[in-house]
Amino acid sequence: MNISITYLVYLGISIAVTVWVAHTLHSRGRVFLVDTFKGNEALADSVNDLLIVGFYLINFGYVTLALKYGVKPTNLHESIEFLATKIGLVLLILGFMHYLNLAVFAKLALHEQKTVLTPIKSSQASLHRS
Amino acid sequence: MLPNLPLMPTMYLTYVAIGVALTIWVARQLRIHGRVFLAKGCKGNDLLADSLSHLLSVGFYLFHIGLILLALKIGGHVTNPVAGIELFSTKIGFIMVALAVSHFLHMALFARIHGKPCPPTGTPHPVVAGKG
Repeated sequence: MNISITYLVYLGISIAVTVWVAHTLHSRGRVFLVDTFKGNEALADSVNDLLIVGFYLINFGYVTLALKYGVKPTNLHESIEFLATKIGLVLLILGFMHYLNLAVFAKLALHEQKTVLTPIKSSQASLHRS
Repeated sequence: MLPNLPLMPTMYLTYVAIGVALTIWVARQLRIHGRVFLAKGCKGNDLLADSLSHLLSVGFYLFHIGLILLALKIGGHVTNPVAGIELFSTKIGFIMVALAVSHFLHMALFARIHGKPCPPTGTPHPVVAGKG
């Protein structure tokens, strides 16, 4: 397989998977953020959009940076190996970024929960004292 | 007898097909059966439980298909069918063990979520609020 065709296949698959994961995170993560920010949809959408921009930048940056690394394939089965290794790494990095984004959602939710619970705890403590 | 196909590309295709099929099957099982735990953990908020379930599935697919593709060229080249079957079996075994580890980690996560309220609750949970 020609090396430029291999590069095109690599770029095509990597970009398609990145866009799919980012779209999923954007649409499914919004529910979490709206719930976390207690229905403040404007804030939730802003945080969501900012997270997605970072996600795209890191992943597209990695995909283009990693393009030229590795031994150039000369026949079909070397091309399959070359593509599999590169796309495998892209998928693992996407998976890592995806879990990192989920951790950010959970962290935001816990932070918001603490800020809600603190005044309740202090009011309960004052009730016990009185 | 085996048909006269190029050994390595045929083995690669069979390995990827079986690996991806196994990943899809485990992910579906986790999604269908894990949803009950997530729904309870999310206090009946179905939309939130579905989103969490979907996001966990996406992570599962990415991690495992990435691992399958990365492990494709491990083990070198084989020239005869017997060595090909041995290499194929080792690789599929590795993928199954990785799937099993991930499966148990997901079950631990479901148990954890099931025991606690789902992180984004909006309103404070009475049990948590009552503590301390």
